[in-house]
Amino acid sequence: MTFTEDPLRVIADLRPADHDRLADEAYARNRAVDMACALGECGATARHGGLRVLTGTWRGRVLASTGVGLVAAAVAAAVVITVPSSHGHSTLGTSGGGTGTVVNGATGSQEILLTAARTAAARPAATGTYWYVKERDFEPTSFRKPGKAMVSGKPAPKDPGFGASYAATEESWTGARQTRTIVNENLAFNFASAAGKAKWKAAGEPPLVNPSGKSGLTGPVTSNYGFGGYSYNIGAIKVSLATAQKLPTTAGKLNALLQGQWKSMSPAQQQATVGLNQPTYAEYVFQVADALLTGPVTPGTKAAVYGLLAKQPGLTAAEKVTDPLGRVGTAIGNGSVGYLVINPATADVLDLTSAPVRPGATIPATQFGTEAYLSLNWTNRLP
Amino acid sequence: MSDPKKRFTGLYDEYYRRVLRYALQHAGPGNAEDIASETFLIAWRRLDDVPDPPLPWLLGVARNLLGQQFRHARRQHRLTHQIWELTTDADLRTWDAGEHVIERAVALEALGSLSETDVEALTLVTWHGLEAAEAASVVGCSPHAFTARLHRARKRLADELRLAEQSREHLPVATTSTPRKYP
Repeated sequence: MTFTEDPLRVIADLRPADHDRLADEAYARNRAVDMACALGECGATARHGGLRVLTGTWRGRVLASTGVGLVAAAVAAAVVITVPSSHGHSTLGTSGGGTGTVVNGATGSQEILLTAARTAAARPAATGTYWYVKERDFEPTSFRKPGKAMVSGKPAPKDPGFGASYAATEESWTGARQTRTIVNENLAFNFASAAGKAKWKAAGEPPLVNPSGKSGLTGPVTSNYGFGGYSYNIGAIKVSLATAQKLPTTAGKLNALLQGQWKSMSPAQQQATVGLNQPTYAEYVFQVADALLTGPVTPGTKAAVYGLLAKQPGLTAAEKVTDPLGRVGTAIGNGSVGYLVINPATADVLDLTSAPVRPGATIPATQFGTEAYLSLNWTNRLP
Repeated sequence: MSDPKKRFTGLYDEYYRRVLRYALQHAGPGNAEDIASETFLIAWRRLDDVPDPPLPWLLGVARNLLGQQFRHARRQHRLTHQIWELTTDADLRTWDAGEHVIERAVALEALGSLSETDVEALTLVTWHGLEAAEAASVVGCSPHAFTARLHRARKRLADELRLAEQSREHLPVATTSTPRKYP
């Protein structure tokens, strides 16, 4: 058979008709607010009291240019100016291990969180030009059937018992006027067991890929962004790099800020923001805590976060948990929101993980997603 | 209404939907709306910098925002993902009307095998109707480089389509790629 497909016509005909419908609906829905915000009349008509609500479902830090000026004033009204702590790779890790204890219920986890609040408050402050984050991410691995391309979005073939996982390092430098990201560094695939690897070999060694379909053939990818006015989306609150350092430094003021935001959202918006069905305020606070504790905030704000977490119901703490990098910390969270693993000596975040944790156990690099933080600090230079 | 406001309103009314459609390639509807709105906020603040025609500039801004927001690779919504999620009967009818040799799912699979760079080059021209020079300004390269990129992307897609068609018909498969196995 003679192949007659024109690639450009194929691409053109693959465009979903729903893009037009979604665009029309969004235009009709957003025009009034977008125009008002852009033309400086945001206070009267902006969504959710002037603090933009993210509709995405992924938690934690999100870099985005903004809208910053519009929200900065709203947030700055409730802030005390201090500067954030600085710590490097070496200070994040801990050593030790052994048999841990699980701390159930409000009293036990409260004590750990309040201790973390005091520790965070006592850390030295620092600042810099760029907020630098380095993390090692662990995720279960998909694979491609030999000779078959993988289609993103299409469910990956079910793991036939390989137990494979991938790990990759990401770095980002976030500045007021410039940002750089490097992703996909040191991409590596591993197996949970020799038996799983043997099964993979017996299956013809199908190519392993990460969830976005990338294999080890793809090296590090560096991106530079030249826009000014970057901001962090912290939970549903969008603040600039500078304003993030002016967030509340007491649990009470932070709670007031988050309560106001929470109540301004519809149930659908709350669900979209937290990424859980019918989320509770405590789950929202936990999500915001993830972002704040790994973001460019002051020691005082970190202390406020821990203090606010101590007041939330349903959190459990498990001590002497080992992360995929071999560091030992205390895990705080639950099966619904995931876990923060912190270094109790410094109150720094070591990991965010969706793995169920047990005291004294090691977080597996397979089956569940884990972000292991190697560095969260300020720097004055781009490498 | 002052001239800047009038110009901005005109920009928004004419191009919001096109910017959103571009964002929908890379993000779910909710995030895509955020990206489109942010893009126009920036356009308002930098109205004097917005050239004519404005679409390449606007898509360039949206592209940067998307790049920042979706730096976590596993959180990316790739184009094929979006197409799978949004496919309706209308799309199937469009495909049938096109009298294609291969099935739509097979074509989508071929598209999914391309790199993001290839897909971007192809869609900027076909979906968004940009000339090579305009598309080059969106992705930040020279028109010559973009033309070469588009040519290579088109060839790779043709190869993938051919491979997919041969595979579907159980014909011997020819491939030029060197398989790599991990770890």
